[in-house]
Amino acid sequence: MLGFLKKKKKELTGKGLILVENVANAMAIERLLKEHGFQVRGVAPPLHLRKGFDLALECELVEQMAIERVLNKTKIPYEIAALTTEERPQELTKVKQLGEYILIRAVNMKLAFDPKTGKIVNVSGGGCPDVPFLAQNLVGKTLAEAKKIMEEGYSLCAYMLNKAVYKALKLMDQK
Amino acid sequence: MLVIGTVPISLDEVIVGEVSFEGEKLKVGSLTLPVNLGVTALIAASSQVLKVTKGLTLKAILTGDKGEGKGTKRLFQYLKTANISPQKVICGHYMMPYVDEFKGVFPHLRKRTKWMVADAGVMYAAKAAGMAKEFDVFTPDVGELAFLADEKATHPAYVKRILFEMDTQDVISLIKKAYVAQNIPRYLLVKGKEDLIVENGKIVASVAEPTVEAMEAIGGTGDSLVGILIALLALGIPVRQAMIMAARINRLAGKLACPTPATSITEIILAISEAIKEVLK
Repeated sequence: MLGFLKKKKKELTGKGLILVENVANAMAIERLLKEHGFQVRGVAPPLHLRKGFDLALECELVEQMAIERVLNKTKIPYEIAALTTEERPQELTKVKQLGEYILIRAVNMKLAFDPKTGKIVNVSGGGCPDVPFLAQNLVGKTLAEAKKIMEEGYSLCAYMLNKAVYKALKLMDQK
Repeated sequence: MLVIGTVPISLDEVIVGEVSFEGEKLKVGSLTLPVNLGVTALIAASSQVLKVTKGLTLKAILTGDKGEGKGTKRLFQYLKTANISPQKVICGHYMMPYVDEFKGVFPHLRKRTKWMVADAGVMYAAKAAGMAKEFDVFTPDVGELAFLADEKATHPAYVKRILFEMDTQDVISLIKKAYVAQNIPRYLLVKGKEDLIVENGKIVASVAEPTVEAMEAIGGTGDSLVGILIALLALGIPVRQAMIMAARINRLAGKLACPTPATSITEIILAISEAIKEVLK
């Protein structure tokens, strides 16, 4: 059962909200995410986050990438927002030429690749545990292959690494 | 000296063991691990320092987590009741920055150590939990420094655009913002083009040489720096000196490895012993 009316105050730092339009969608999402092992609970969203979405599920924000992967397989409209900030995940990336290689940084994640071959030569940064896992699978692979590998990402660090992968793909397309 | 973190392998138990790094073989207890960015690079680098100096041992508490978070939760559960002997240094590293779970175990760890150092996921959790001041040392890169300077973000992914835009251009302002927001501990080692040693929000030293540009791209160079630092702290070297030495050793190891952006971190870690000799000359 959804716990929308629970009055118990809970520590919200680090949490995110999955905003949905109605109770039926909220219940469907709650069931689906719990089946996939995520800890979520129904809550009423704060006023500044309502914007057409009146119900919400509280989740671990750091798991955003994995949650979106599950939800994107449904046709349920949703939005994920952080509870402590009005920002959205950073879209901006920085690009740097390092000799023959290109380094892309998405805040705390870095991806180095060889523009001649499209091969990823290094992954750096981050703090979530999927980063070392993804890094060992990405290095030596092409950017085209990286899209599939990134489907193994769970965390916000992986989310940012994915931004770097897509920026690199865009740069390769522009060549 | 104790390092706590997760490794990206299928390992459903918590391993507590002594770390050894011989040749290119990293072992924690009976578990053999490949060296990659993250905890393995950190403990391999620490081992290299301890090998040169002898006398101290490094222990690690590790479990497997490829990102799904189950391993991190298992680790937190273990730490809640673990009987941890008094340490000179405890370093928390890669794991999911679950704030609630972190708050549950941190006080227990804090009581067991003189130096509490955080990098990677533990640094993110400590900042998000508002507990940065209870640590002794953070080791952010500039992107992570922007996150520490952001009063509201609970993960670097949510950092304000303006802070990310300015991160390499105005590091001093970011340090000030992070300090005012009480999001940093007493000491910071900011990893970057120039490594900055910060005490109480003020830059007290910097290390810019040797410059090895390729190191920025190599996964694990930040981890190796932290690994060197915690080993030096455990050896009783005063913190400011330890941070300067660690930055020099790491950079020199990088130089000795003659890296390109495609070099693996293992090559740099293997050069640490030689780099220490050079720095101590």
